[in-house]
Amino acid sequence: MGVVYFHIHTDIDTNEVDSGVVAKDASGRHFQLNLAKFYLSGIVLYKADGSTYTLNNVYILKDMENEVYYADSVPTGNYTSVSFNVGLDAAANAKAPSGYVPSNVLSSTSMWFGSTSEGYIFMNVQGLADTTVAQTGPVNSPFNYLIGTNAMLKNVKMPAMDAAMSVVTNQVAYVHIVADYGKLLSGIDFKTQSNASPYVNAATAMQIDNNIPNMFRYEY
Amino acid sequence: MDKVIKFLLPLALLGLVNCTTYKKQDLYPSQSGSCALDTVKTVSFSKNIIPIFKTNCSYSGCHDDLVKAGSLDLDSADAYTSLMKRGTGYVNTSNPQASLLYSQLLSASQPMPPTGRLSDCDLQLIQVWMQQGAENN
Repeated sequence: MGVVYFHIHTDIDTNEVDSGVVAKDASGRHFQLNLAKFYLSGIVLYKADGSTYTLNNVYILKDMENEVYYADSVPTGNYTSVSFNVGLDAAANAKAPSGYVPSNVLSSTSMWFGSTSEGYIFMNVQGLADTTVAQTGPVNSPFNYLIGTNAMLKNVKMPAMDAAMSVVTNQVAYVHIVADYGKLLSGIDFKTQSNASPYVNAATAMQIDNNIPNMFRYEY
Repeated sequence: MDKVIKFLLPLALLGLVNCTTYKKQDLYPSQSGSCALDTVKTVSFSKNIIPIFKTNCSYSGCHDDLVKAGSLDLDSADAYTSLMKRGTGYVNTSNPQASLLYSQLLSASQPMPPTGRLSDCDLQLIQVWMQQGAENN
């Protein structure tokens, strides 16, 4: 067995960003992220022969402050691709954060809508945008997007890696991924679609949810 | 040799060193015939680590201060800050072998540097530097 970690960058287009840093997306829009979190679960590693290894009960809460996340011990071998869910499976989504010890990522009350019927916030994105047409104004228009509910659980199947990820006994291997919030928020009008969740402006939330598979790419 | 034993024995006893990584041939790699670990007790970031980056990583188009491949700038002036940036995971003082930096150096599929694996001596210098607290010394 070897160990697999995820290394996930937070980017706007090709600019790696920290909280509060203004960047320009591929369409030329200026915005900053003040908070950007999402859950990863249902991780599956693929080998070239088509066989898979599923990381059961592995939940990762990606935030802007951390890039490296332990995933699991996995059988040695060369893995050529990975898939994962952005969000939580129905069983996990039906529980409450209070049922977990504080060190468990599922204990985060800030990633919960507040009741088991509403469930967890799969993705929480907040920031400020320049809403001027010319994109020469201040970045002062707030946006706030919450994705959740079982209907918005999104599976992401990454393409084949350029070079297979070799998992070697007693060594650590990293899956290097970039999360591009420019792509996530592509097509969203910061002026007229400034906030959304499954319970408020659900159509906008679904529009963002449908962008999720496009926001991930390998780092290399 | 006595110096090597004096240095390694306490570490091995503390379980900080994987003995298999400290074979004699590793400490005296054939290409250079010697390793800085033979003569220094404390690995220096500026004297021992930066030269490794200069030779193998921070050249133009890679981890230099312009391109910063993977958002990692290993140029002499910025390397420490870049490596130690909170949350990046490049450095892990409690488990150097799990660090992003060390793992990439050993990676079979995406090795860094892509031109060829570092010498065992250089790898050990980086590992020991982390074990010793990854000081900016």
